[in-house]
Amino acid sequence: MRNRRSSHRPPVQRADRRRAALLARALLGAFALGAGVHSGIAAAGGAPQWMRDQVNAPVPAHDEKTAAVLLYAETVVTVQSAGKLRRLERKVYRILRPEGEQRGIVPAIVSSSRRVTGMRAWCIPAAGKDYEVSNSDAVESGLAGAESVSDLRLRLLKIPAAVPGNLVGYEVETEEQPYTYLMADEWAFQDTVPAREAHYTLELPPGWQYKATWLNHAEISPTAGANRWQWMVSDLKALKLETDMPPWQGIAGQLWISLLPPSGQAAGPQSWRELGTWYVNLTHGRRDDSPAIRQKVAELTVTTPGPLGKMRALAGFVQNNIRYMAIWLGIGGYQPHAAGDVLANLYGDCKDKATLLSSMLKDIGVDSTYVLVNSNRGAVTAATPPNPGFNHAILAIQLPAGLADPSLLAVKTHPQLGRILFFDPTDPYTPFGSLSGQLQGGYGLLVTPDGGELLQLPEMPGDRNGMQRTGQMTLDDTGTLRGDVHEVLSGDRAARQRGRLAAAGQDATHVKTVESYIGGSFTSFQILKATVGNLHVNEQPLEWNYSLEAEHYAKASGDLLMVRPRVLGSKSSALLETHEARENPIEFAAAEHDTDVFDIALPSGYQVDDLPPPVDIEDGFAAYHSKTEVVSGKLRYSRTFEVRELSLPAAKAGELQALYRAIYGDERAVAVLKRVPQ
Amino acid sequence: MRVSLRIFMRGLLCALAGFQVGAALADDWLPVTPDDLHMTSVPQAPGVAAVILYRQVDRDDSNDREDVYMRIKILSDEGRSYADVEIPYRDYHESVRDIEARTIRPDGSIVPFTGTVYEKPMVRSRAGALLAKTFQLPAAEPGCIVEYRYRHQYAYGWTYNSQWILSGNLFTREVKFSLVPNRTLSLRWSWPNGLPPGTAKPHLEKDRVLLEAHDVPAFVTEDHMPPENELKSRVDFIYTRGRIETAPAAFWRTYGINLWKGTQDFTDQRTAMERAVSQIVQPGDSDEEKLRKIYARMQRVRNLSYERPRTAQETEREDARKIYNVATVWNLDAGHEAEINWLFLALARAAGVAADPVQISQRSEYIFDPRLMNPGQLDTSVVLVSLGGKDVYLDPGTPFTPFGMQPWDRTDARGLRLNADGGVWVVTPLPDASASRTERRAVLRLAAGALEGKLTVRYTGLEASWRRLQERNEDDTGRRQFLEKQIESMVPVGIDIKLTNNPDWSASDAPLVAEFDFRVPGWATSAGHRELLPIGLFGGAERHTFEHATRIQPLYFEFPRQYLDDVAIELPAGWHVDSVPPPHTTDLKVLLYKSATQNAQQSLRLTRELTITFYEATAQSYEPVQAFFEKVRTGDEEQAVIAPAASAAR
Repeated sequence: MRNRRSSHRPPVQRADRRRAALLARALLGAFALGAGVHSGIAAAGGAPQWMRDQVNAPVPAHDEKTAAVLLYAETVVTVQSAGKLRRLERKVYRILRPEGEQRGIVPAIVSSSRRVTGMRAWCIPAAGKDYEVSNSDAVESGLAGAESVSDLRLRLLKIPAAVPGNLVGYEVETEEQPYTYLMADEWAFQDTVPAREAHYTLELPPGWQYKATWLNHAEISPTAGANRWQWMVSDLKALKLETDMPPWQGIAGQLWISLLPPSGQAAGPQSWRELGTWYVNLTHGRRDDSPAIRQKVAELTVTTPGPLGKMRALAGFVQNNIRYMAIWLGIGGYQPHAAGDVLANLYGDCKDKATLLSSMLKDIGVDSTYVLVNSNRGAVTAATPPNPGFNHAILAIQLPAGLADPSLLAVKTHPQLGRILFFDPTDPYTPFGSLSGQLQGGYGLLVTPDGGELLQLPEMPGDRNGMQRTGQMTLDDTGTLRGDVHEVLSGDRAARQRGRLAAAGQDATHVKTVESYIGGSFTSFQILKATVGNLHVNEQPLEWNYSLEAEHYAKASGDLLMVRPRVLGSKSSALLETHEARENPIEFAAAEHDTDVFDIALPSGYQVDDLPPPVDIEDGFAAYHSKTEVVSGKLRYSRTFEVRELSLPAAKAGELQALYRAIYGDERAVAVLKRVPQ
Repeated sequence: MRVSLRIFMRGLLCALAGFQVGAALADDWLPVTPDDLHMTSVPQAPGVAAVILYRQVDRDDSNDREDVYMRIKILSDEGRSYADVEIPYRDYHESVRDIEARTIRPDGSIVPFTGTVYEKPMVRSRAGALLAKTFQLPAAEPGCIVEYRYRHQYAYGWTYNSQWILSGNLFTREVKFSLVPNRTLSLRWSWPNGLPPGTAKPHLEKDRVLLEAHDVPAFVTEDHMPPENELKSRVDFIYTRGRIETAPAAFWRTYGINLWKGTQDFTDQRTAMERAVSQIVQPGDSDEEKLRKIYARMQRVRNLSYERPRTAQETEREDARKIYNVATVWNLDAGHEAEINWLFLALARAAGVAADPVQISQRSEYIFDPRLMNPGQLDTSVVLVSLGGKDVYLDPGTPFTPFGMQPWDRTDARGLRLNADGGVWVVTPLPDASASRTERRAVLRLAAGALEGKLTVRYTGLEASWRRLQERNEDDTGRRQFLEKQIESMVPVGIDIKLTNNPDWSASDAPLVAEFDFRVPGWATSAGHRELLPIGLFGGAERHTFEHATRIQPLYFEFPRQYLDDVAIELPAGWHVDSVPPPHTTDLKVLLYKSATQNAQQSLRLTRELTITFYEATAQSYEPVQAFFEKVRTGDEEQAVIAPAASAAR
């Protein structure tokens, strides 16, 4: 069973605080050791009173692994009459362990619409004078990788002496002119360390109103003053980071504040419909075709019969021939480039690719529209308030009436648009008709001329994703196993394998790839040959054929020969073999259905003496069946493994652990062969 | 020399090294051959995503500039990433200008780059900024050629040491380098890791140094390999003021004399040292006792080199008292690594023991060769003492180093034993494998397929010291997690592990001993009515060692070491041992593996030894080494067969 890994899907840029916090969190590690981080010299003064007040504050409950605790957090958001947002953020941590030094690095995101107007930080050591650093001591870096250009920058300020026993605190002031589509603020008050108290204050100009939405936390009423509202949360439990857990946005407590200016002033979208309309306007004209597009469409489809074939040809072109390259400057984080430019450059990001494909499809009479999604399933849910918190763009393609084909799986029927196929032109390995596991079941904003609509993306049936493996093997009396293995991979499994093979690059014979792939199953083995089929044909299953020879595969013990019928491949996992109880749901990559069948011809002079027992487990979310038997004089091991859900609640972690342990036992079980007396 | 000539260490440009690929800015692009247009693969590098067809770097240190020309053939979808170009530079000393680029389609048609060149901040601070010029070539598809050229212009009057890097991440069909030296400085150059086969060495022609190479393979990274930088083909250019010394012996003599003088100046505090040593040793102590006492005292000096990194403010507050010589180190009871070593040297001499300073090169970073005349690689110190007529190298400046040993990267290391004449070359000893052991002793019982009981792990020598050094700034929780994770990596399956004692993290000579509650779920394998117990309980680390059939890079193991396991397993009541595998020994002289299983009816005793007595070998030695580790894995997978009493009757 493969669990979901973090997404590498290229994001649609959004310069809001949520993204800023996530990016900062991701980069903290890289800067944590202070290499190149300059810290200021003389301390100008002591820590402010709001920080000093925390010196004797009780430390919230925590375990021995907790590196720091948040004693105090305060956020004050002031909306000015022009809609400009001023934000003051203060935090005070007590460092408990050396690892807590990371809390002594203050992050702030800078962009074309946001500037940092003040940045100061202090340390109150257990003994001695306070330390103080400020904006001029900060280090700034770009956030974009080589495949992107962005105006987002990360400013970091390192606080001296962030060591156990000391208090560190900071104050960051920012000023932001939000885009009209984002007249909102988000208070993300929960963290991976326990928090004693956190305050949020909203100050609005006369006539302005707000709407509050709580996510992953019970609603709390504010205390109100004149155009001023205050919320407070206290004694917050730390969020635990676990492998294969849902995305942060899906579990952390947050307060979403939608800002409502007086009538007559431009307000941000108050509904998904309005958000869709905003995007319709933003992308107006971008999908217009051009002579070059028409010529390319004709060239790609002229010899391809039927609408499905033509759609596939165009989708394949955009998937494979437009390289991923993102330029996110200002509104460019949301607004795609014109389809004609994308074609001329042969590069673009996810929304550029969706734009070009939409334009090309239109030329063959097929309508399509954008779907904004978050590539981390669970980051956007049905409860999420309307906001552009998406990081990826795909297409919803209206299937021509009467078009039916078994390959069209990612299909949903829409009341107005009819049957729509969801397709991700940025994903180079998932065929037209399917959707990658990380997008399945997630929520996306369908953008139509009438506005937007939040809908759930379809899930693929498990039997369209998996691996069917067969092995025809021969065992000799020295214990050497030889034979041929054939694997057929479909769906997400095939896509992931194609991605790995592409990344492996220089291994022309594929031998090293197979060696790494199956190395865990043998102690001593040799790959005699390996071929891969349909590597570049996404519509077909990926096929592996390899021949191997494994010495000492069977172990002799007197008259006995011990042989493991499960020749290779593992479905078990040590994911849940931890001391602590699981706290978060377990996210699976996708529903899947795998089978293994190994036939092992026995060495002459031996007969089967003992066989492992069959295993039959039927859980609602998964199933595992295996058996070892003698068929036509050969030892046959066969098994099926199914994952039926995308996500499993933490309460069922025990069942999953039991399943993994049973599989582990089955995978190591041994058949005993006995020499036949002559 | 012009306005403000400065010579920068090579490190300053390390970040830019990958982009010091170059070319002359000609009026026209170089012609493209039909063969290059239609190329689909390169026989020398099958399956690669892209190759460099041509690369040219022309550096002119008299005019503060470097011209770069790059032509890349894209062979697959993945190769298109080479059409996204990023050229780093430092804003305060250099600029990147005259960027031109184009894409050549397989049919020969040209798509010129007319887009925007973006300026991307990489790191910016009060001290300056590291930026990058970045641009995206249009119409790049498999089969296309992308090419670009640009100029690095350096600030007037600034001259840098530089490198020509030949081994990159792409196969290079043809590369040409040239360098016009700064006329006011002396320049020498070397190619410490050799040149690609068939490449003529760099030569001076008229006023420039030239090098041309063909068919340079891409650099490949593998596990257990020597320092990467010491394997890549490159040419180092080092500027010096004044006359250039070309004879290594004379170069090192001059260097050694200067170092000797500096060391003497720092340690020459006889009266203070005699007073200090009298507080440490007794008059009747033997030389060894004296040295051990002084050594132990030095290991208690606050070692500033191994504390957590301080910010400038913290350092400024703490460094109020400066260190000028060994007397101030003694009085402050604090110093950096070398300062503590030199204090030890001075105290040893004051105690009447002959001792010499030695400057050595760390194996973790360099493969030192004195012929290259690079004093930057002679980057750390030890002290050589004479004890009972034997030379003993000591390094009290590195915390937790046992008396008589050095950290692994200073063993078998070349160094200069300093004296008034400059010094003599020496090589530090390599400890035996038995000096650095990991001993795992477990007393377990088998119940419901799981092993459960007590595990004691004893680390000695370098195995103890590197762990203590690595965890020196951690707290008890961090150290406990570290030790538990170490055991998890040693066992090939998931385990439950919990540290139960308080290991001694402060000692140098004493072994590091950790005790655990230990459980291995599902270790016994079902075989019908029998059960099988693999005997290699601690074979996790070797499970994937050298699993590939071929090897390109030399092998490197850091230091000789030994693993000794002794595991007692009590069987469930009513079960007995059916059979055990025969003893197994594989001895390659430099590698030894032994395993044995003893049957005591109601219990099993498993012993295992893995001894690695070498630390480096050529790639040609890979085959027997790989075969050895296969035998280790095979031996570890051997199984004892146990069965319930009823089975014996069958």
